[in-house]
Amino acid sequence: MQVCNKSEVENIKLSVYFEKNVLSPLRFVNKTLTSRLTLSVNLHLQPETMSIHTKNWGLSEADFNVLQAELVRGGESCFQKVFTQNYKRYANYIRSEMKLSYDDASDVTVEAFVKIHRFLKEGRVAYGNLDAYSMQVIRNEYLMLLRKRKQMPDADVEVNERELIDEAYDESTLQQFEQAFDRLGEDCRTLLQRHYYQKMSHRDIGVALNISEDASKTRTKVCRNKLRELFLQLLNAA
Amino acid sequence: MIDKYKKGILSEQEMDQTEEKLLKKMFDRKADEEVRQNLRFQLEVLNTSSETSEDTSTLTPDADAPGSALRVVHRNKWMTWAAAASVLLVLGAAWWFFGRSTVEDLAAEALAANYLKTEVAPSLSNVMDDSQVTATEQAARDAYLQGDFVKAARGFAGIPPATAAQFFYLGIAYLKQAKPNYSSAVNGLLQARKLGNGWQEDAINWHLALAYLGQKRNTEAQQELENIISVGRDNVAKAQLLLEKMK
Repeated sequence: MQVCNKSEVENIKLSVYFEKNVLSPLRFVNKTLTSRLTLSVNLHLQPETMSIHTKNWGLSEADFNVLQAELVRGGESCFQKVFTQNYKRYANYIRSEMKLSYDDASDVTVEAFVKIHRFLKEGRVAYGNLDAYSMQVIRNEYLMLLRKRKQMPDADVEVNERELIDEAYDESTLQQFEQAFDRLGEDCRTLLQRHYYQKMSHRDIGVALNISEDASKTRTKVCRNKLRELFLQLLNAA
Repeated sequence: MIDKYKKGILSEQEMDQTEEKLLKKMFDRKADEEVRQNLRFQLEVLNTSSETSEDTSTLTPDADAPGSALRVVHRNKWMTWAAAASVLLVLGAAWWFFGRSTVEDLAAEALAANYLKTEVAPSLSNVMDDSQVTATEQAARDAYLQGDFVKAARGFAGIPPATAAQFFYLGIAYLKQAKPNYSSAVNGLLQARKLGNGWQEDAINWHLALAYLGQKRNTEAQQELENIISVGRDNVAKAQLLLEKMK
């Protein structure tokens, strides 16, 4: 299956290779030619290769790397194609296996893909058996749905699925924290987002905002203190 | 942990760690929400695309019986139309007797719906070379120009949309239908905003505000309206009026 169109793939490959400075342009051309040869060979896939692709949303390992690289760069088109090409199969599976309604099966599948998107972006998913991995996430989402509807006690959630559930804080705490964050000024919100979410270093933030590295550190500290103050106010008011 | 945080009995390092975890969780939630909306939109496009191939009769293979013949399903809708016409007649009569409200009398949501009904849809701009327009897109553009927004929406959704312009006209087409599809319109317009880098900014802000009002998402609607006022170009007076109504 071709996940992204050829130009998208080549653009991403180009930028990834050159950004990382891994290959010289000559080696890049050589490697691209080789990959094109591999592509044409893949048209006559061997049974073992076929099964590997089938287990991995129809992707080759190179396709998977392209998909992951695109997600890290904020692109969505490859992931959307994977989703639209696999959605029906997973939704039908969960619907028939767990006797879910059409809407519930759709919700569970979408939620699972939201999680998969995040895990892919964070590099927590490896190529190998993406199909089995997706089924696991979908089953986990199904358990979450049951939990939300109080049809199953917490203890029934298998231990190995707990890391996927990832719910350390209750909803009201998270909402209060979001409120506190929203009350910060635009500058603070941007600064915290860059540092704690986009993982930008203070040096890079300094360059982006035209301030020194130390100034970025100081401002971050001020914003963190302000956030703490606002959050504690909200917690204590509740 | 949060109780200890609240009581201030955590060390400075533990406080920091708690906040960093909360920050990560919060940003993840925001990003997840964006992905969720995106995937739901993809699903709608998928569903709409499969509907596009259907007309007054649908060929549906019997899934449980492989190899069985296709059956034709005819839709007899005249009774539904007759019922709808009767309801409209009664509502029209009631409206006539109990008096027509002026624009000023309308609540914010009704006023937004009124704007959607009465305003002319944004004109199609030639953002691309005509030779690049596919037959499907051309059909969607034609339908849009003729005011057939249901057909236009199906057409744009069936391309499927990838550019700011395609998402924009898809969003508008969803909004301008007799029965607006607000959530799809919001998704389309948000995609257009994301891809457009300021293209049709005023129209996107305005139609997003109207769509949010249609969904009763007042906080988001208010943000869009305030944005329109701060930008200070198109639709400022109408935005102010809507904001006043929302108070």
